[in-house]
Amino acid sequence: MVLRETFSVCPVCLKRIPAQRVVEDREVHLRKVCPEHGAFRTTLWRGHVDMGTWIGPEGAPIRDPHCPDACGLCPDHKQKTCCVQLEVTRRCDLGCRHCFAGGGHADPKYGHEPTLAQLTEDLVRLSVPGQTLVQLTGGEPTLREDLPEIIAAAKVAGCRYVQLNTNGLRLATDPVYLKALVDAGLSFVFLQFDGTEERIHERLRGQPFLAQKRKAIEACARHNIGVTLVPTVVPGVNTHDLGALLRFGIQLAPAVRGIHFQPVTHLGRMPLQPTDTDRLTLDQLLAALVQQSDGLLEPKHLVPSSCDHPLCGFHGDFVVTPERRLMPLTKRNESACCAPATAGQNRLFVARRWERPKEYGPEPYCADLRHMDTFLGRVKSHGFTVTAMAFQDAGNLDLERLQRCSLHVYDRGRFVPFCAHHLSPLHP
Amino acid sequence: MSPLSRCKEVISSSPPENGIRDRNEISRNALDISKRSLICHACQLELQSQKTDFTYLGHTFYADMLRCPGCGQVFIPESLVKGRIQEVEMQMEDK
Repeated sequence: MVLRETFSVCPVCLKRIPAQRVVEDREVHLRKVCPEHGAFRTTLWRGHVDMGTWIGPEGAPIRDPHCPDACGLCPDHKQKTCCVQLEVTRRCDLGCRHCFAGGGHADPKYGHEPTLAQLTEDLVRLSVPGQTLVQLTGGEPTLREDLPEIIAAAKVAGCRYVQLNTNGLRLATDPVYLKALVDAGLSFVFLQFDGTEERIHERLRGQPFLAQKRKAIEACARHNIGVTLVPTVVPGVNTHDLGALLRFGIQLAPAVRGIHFQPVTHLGRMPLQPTDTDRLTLDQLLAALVQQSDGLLEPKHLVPSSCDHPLCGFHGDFVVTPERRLMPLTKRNESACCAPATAGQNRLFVARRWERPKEYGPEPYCADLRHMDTFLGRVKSHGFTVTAMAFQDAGNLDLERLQRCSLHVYDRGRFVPFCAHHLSPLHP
Repeated sequence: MSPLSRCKEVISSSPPENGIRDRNEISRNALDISKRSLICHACQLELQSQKTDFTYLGHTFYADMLRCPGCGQVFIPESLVKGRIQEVEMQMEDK
């Protein structure tokens, strides 16, 4: 049964072609045919949650989209920028099995690297003073010695939040460098953190990095810089570790502000051409996470993205209690779909949790979170988000989803939706 | 009629021995809820501080509030509404 007519691309030649979301044996697949390269089918949903209920009412299907050709924010794009990524280097000190950026080579001679002056100009152009959340990414941004100056330039340009996307290795070992980042105005950190077992780091990143990751979290905590753990979730590698990751993050709150799960996507560098079993769908992630959480989470506490397309992610907002349990603040309302959130609302929502407060106010005088003052103190100090973002690749790209993307890469004057920017062919 | 308008304020501080009260002090006290007692207009009873529940989006919180021991009406100062209560609402709300 056809659920929805939409558009995608051929995974071989990347030409835009019609596509359909089709229900087959409880699963939902994206089906499409390229006149030149044949028919393709990719699993989108495995039926752990009813997809129709999850998405809610949909408007008219998109017609004749231009995306992703020459993609930048055009009049057809339906969401503004929540977070803008600025790639400060292509260099990286790791050679990860999966890398959407295809980064590599720590040598400065590798590839083009924008100068500080160029980046400063970019930051002035991309910034809406007092509002912008800019994520500095790469490659590995901490390979740049002038990263403090880049952060300072972002603040001077008016960026409200400066987020660092990092593997954390330098933060763990170079306190002088970290202090310089903090003094320059760093707001919070997205830390690549794939699991609680060394073998997971070895398989995905090439080395046993768990100790360094812990040190990075501790180092950021000393400077009151919030850390969000960002696991890339790969079937057969760390799908068994989701509950342990959650408990790890909760134990380290308030230093850790949340976990942002990213099911593996097949952009940039990948070890093999993906089959359907190499994909982890959003509902599959949600079900596994809840099942492994030992009662910390319930499905109703994780709600579809209301900023991006509902198939692009979920979020839950919590407070970590003194007993290291989660007090849920978010609750799914299945009878009425929430209105889509604006990019600005979403930005404030995530930033208020990911950024650690500079002042905590007086110590609460009781441990009961039902006391108004105790709750207010605790939600600021120990607020915790559980979020997920399901990026799209040439196999599962749905242009209707792409048109609602709020995560944009700044590229030579254009704001390009993340999945369009990194889109790369999958050769059958 | 709002709870606020049903309350009649009484300055709790006693007048100085010479009987001359500092007008500025009176006006300061009148603005400071913590320094005055409130009388319920309907019951003519002095409001008392009591643990009071607030429910919002399925969660219940409590705080000590002034409540009439007769009719149970609660006095919620504007400063609390625009301060902590609004902050709790904001923290509870999704995007």
